Amino acid sequence: MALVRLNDISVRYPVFTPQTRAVRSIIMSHLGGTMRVQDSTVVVEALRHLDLELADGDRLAIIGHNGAGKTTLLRVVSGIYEPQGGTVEVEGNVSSFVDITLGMDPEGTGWENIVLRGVFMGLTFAEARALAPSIAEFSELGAYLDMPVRTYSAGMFMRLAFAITTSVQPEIIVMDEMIGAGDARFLEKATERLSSILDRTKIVVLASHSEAIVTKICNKALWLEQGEARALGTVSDVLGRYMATVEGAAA
Amino acid sequence: MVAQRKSRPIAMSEARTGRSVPIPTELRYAKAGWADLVEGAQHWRMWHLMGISELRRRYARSRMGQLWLTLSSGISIAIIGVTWALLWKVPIAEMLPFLAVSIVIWQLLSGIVGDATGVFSANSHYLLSHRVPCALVILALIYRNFLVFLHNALIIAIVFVVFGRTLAPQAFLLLPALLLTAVCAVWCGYIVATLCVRFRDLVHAVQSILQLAFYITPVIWKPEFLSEDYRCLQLLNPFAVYVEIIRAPLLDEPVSASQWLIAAAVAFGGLGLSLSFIGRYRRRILFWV
Repeated sequence: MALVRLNDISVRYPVFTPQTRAVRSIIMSHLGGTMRVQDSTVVVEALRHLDLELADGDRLAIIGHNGAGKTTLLRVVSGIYEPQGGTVEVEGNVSSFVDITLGMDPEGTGWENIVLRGVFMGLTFAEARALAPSIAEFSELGAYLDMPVRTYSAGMFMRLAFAITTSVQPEIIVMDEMIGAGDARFLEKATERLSSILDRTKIVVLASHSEAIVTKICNKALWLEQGEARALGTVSDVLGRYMATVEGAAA
Repeated sequence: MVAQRKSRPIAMSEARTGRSVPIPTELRYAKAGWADLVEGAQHWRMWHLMGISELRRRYARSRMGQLWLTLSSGISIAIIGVTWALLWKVPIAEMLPFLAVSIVIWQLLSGIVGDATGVFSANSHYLLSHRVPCALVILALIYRNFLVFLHNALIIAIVFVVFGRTLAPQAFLLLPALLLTAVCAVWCGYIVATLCVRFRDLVHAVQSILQLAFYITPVIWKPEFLSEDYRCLQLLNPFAVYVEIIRAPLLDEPVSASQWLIAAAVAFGGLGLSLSFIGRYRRRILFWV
């Protein structure tokens, strides 16, 4: 059983800058969270009084404008940020697919990077080495794995990062935009591998701007606006209302 | 990374109101700080890899690689050693081993403090991508500086061989001395790194203090150069105490019990204070990086 339960959480970022006054002048901006002045420091309220409960089988899409609080919410679910208000309960292994290259070293060979990235995903050296052959096979990098990763093209590098990251099955996955890698043929293979992992994951939380991806993967949607939940419900309902305002603003 | 978490209640809001638990808040913070350190130690695979990758990256694609660490310190030690010996008319055979040991130790101490000033901002991507303890980046930094120290130990070995010096039986005291240094490095790292990420002016202040500390600490001058009346002032300078307890075993010089006591008090007292400090601020640091 995996579980994510957020109860009335609020996240505030203090903004420390020598030019606090300049920041105050942009408080009225419409983008981003609400800013206010608290004890003479500028504070951005990235999330305000948010409730959320996810259980097995839930695939939540977080939608909203830039700065609506999507990344902050992902970090709360990952356990990185502890909100200043409210309570957070998370049960299950959380795996973050936000930065799939974390821990990799351009100077190391492909093989070394499999171990590096594996360790940063929580594996032991032996576990990472045991996974190496299957990762190598999936990545199709062949003899390149003996070369330093800095010699790879960006596409090859992402292929390797993708192959390593998707080689472990977590219980909860947190993702900021869809991940994928490689040329058209590899991308197809990668998408297939990712969907089979997502299928076996108990809870998925995905922040995305893509209507197509959200519709394909998710069964729930949360629309954030200036750090508050504007709507939470089925994808078709919430996405429909969100798209209506986006189109309304454009027209 | 896969993080194991089971119904983790938020410590901060609870700690503020302090209604559910009767134990003092400071102690709760200290417990949280201790948990951070233990969790950091359990991530040894990560900080081991972070330490060696950083060194490798720094010297990547140079033919001599990490040997540059040893080479550049070696050259400066040789030049300062000869100059000093001539200036103060001390035999080179006496001056050079002293300087080699002192400068290598100083590089370890100042390297740890200096690197701590920017460690949270430099590693923000590790801190903001996964739930990791603050101790992870601190331990990586200490580990890296100890690796550099090992590279530089080669200089000491060469100088000792050239001047026919041998290690005395009391050289084994080097181990407890380095152990105390590591303990001290943990709390210094926590406190310097946290203060510097919150108050960015301190980054520059600490660098200046290190520069000053280099002059007032007997690194490139011998403690005996100071007249007897002022020598006890060195006990007030933690850098001097640490340089002394690491250097004396190698050079077969006596160390007073008071120096060991001060070193231990600084290490463990500081650790205690820093644990409640980091327990209090560890989650807020992420909003400051």
